[in-house]
Amino acid sequence: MAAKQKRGSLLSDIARNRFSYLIALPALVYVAIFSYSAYSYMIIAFQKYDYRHSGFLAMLTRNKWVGLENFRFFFASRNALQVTRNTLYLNFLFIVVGTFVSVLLALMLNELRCARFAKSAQAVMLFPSYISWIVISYILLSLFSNEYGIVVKLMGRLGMEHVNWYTSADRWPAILVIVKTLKNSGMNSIIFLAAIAGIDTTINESARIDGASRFQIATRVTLPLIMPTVMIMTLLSVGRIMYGDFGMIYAFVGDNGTLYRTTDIIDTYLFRALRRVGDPAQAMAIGMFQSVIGFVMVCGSNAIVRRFYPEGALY
Amino acid sequence: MKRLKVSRIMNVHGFRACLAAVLGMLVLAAALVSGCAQGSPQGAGDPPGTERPSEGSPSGGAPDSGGASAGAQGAPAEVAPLLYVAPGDAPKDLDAALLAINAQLAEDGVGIALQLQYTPWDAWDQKINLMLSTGEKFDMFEVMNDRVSLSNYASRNALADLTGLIGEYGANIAAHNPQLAMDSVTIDGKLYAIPAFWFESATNPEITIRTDILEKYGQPLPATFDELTEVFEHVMGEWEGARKPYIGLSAGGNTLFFNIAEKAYDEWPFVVYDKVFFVAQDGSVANYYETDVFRKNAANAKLWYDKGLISPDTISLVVGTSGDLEKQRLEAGDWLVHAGTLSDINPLKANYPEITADDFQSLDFAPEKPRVRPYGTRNMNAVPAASEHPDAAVKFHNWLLDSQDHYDLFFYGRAGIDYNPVGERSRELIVDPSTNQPPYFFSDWMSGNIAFIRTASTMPKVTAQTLYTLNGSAVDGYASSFTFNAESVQTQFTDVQTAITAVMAPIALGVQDYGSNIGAALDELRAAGVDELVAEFKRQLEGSMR
Repeated sequence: MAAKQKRGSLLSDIARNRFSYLIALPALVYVAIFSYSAYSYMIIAFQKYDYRHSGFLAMLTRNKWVGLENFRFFFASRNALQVTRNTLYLNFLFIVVGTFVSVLLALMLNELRCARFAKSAQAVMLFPSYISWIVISYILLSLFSNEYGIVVKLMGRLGMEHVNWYTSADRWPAILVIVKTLKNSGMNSIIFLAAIAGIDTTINESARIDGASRFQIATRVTLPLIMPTVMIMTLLSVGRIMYGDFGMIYAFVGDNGTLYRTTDIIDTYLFRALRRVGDPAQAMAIGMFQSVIGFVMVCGSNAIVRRFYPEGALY
Repeated sequence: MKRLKVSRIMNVHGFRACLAAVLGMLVLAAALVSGCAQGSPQGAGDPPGTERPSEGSPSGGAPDSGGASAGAQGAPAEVAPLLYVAPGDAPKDLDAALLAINAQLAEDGVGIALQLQYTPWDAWDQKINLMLSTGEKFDMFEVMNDRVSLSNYASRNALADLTGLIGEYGANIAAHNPQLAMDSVTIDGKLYAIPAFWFESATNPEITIRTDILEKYGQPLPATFDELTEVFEHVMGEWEGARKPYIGLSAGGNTLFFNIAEKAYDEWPFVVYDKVFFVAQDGSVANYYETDVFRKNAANAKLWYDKGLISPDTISLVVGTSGDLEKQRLEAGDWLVHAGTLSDINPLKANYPEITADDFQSLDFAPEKPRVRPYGTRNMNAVPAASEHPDAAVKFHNWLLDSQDHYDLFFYGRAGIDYNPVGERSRELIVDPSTNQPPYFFSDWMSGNIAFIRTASTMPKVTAQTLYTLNGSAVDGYASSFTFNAESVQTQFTDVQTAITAVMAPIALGVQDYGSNIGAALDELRAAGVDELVAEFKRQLEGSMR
């Protein structure tokens, strides 16, 4: 009875907000086709893939079941632990530093009083988002290469010790974090800026009347009010913590093995492992591993957030 | 009442806004679906009026947004369509050229109508995998053994067995491909592809030197590695250009690191496969990094690195970037020695307007010793198991190799429009200024044959001689008809390759000293599983020889 009532309320909600649902329809269709309908094919992660059996039923009944064999090639590798650790560590740094800088930028932009300057500052900050990693890799090369590097030459002129940046693995997590933050923070700050724009102006007004300074309003009023958005964005990022930024790492590091110790991530390792084999079953196995870990991370983080900061929880 | 009116106006505006948004979303959804859908090869690239064969025709295989395709016009019902899926971007005049090709095929009564579908390189591996795994109907595709090998596809039952078809329809294929090339497409006694025996692989170690630079700096043509070192050092010291003429090497590139002197070693002849497997002509297999050959190569690399002949950035030049930087250096003409061959002198003319195709020489430090052919071919055309007329691919290849005219038409297009023949083995490109390419061409490396290939007139003569003429004195490498399948040792293969780029590359490129670093580097390689890997290679090689 209760279920019937619930279904009824959903239907009446759809009837009441049919245009809103219609707007959501393409996204729902997209998710249904490319996400949910593909779930059943995850069985190939446990099979030896055979190109002759492309239909689901044929796969189910005719492909050879191999248990966890398709996972073995990755977990048997002596590099599995290192690339998993690098993926988690780099993504953790990206999330923490990226979120901090984006929120800071949003707060600063919100405090700008000259509208023209605010707009141009925003445009300038957005610009790096549109530069490809390949172009940025050339910029890095012009900064750090032995032959052309501006930084290398400058350090030489200042009498500092020569550093071969492209063989110094320990320096690269910092370089990657700085570059990624510079590239993406402008774009990400827009979301937080939108959240700030949604704050009731009377709250800020009240704070001002009560004698709060602009800094106090920003840190004691604005920041707490956008924290739910910050938390939701962070939780969504945590869901993809097992997926590295392949485009960035491959453009910067490529096959420079001397940097693998700190920069080789699951995605780049898999690219090297699978490009000569191209086995869909193994690709599915590792994709599944990444998804499951991401799912667990999101659920776990959300549970923690729900307990200590319910407004910021996803559900 | 007034409030109601305002609200109604609001609703009308809201409704319009909503409607506009919904329409926008629908357009986006339609674009998304059409972009992702498996369309037909008769796409935008088809000439008007093209009819798609209805029965048994390829139903899918649409190029994605970056791809292009074209089909045969008015193919009669009994003509089988041949949908050939190739990597890269379609040439500008594909449709017009295909009309000419299909007209010739029809005139010759081959009974096939060619359709070409291009898939951009960045999506190639995924796209072809998807097409094979979804059972899409297409008839021929490119296999590159240095990417996903033929044996890999065959082991997952992706390919049609062509043994009987080549026997029945492929007399020219058998006639123009040496046994070594046919062996390269044979797995367990079955022919799974048609070889593209388009160049002579007996070229290692490749060393091209610029004679115009030697002349400019008053240096003789070196005959030994020591002489080359001396000449190169002199040129480097006197170099007038802004960019130093380092030899082009890269950690992740295709060169076997630094190997240019190895033909003069006592151990020659031998071949090193996948930067790991050292195979001597007596069939013995070893870990390359444990051989004396590697020790000598590393010592030579160190000598050149210390003399400043190898770029100080050689270890850090990553594939994408280094490829471009090396290419820039090469095309700018800022080099004396190149560990490879040059295919076109045109780009060099910007800085060296007087340069000609004769200004290059290939160095051979032991001309009395034969070169070794490491493989028959690494490129081939395979037929998917789902193809409804696998004979079409065989018939097409047989037609291609039937005459020079057929070959010219398919690969170089229409004489006078896409190219001009120059003599029997060369051609002059007719370049469309809008694309800087001929209006139509098909790359020889995909399906070509060395017996018919025409080299561009702007190619250095030494390249044409080295790559596109069969070397009568070359010997087939012991493992030249064998392709290693790393499937069973995939983890070790990846880990060993990772260790090579991490710890061996600095030694192989002369950045680190061999003596003090090889011990630890070999330990790394062993920990990564190099011994199991070499044992598996040996086992498979011995099995294939049996």
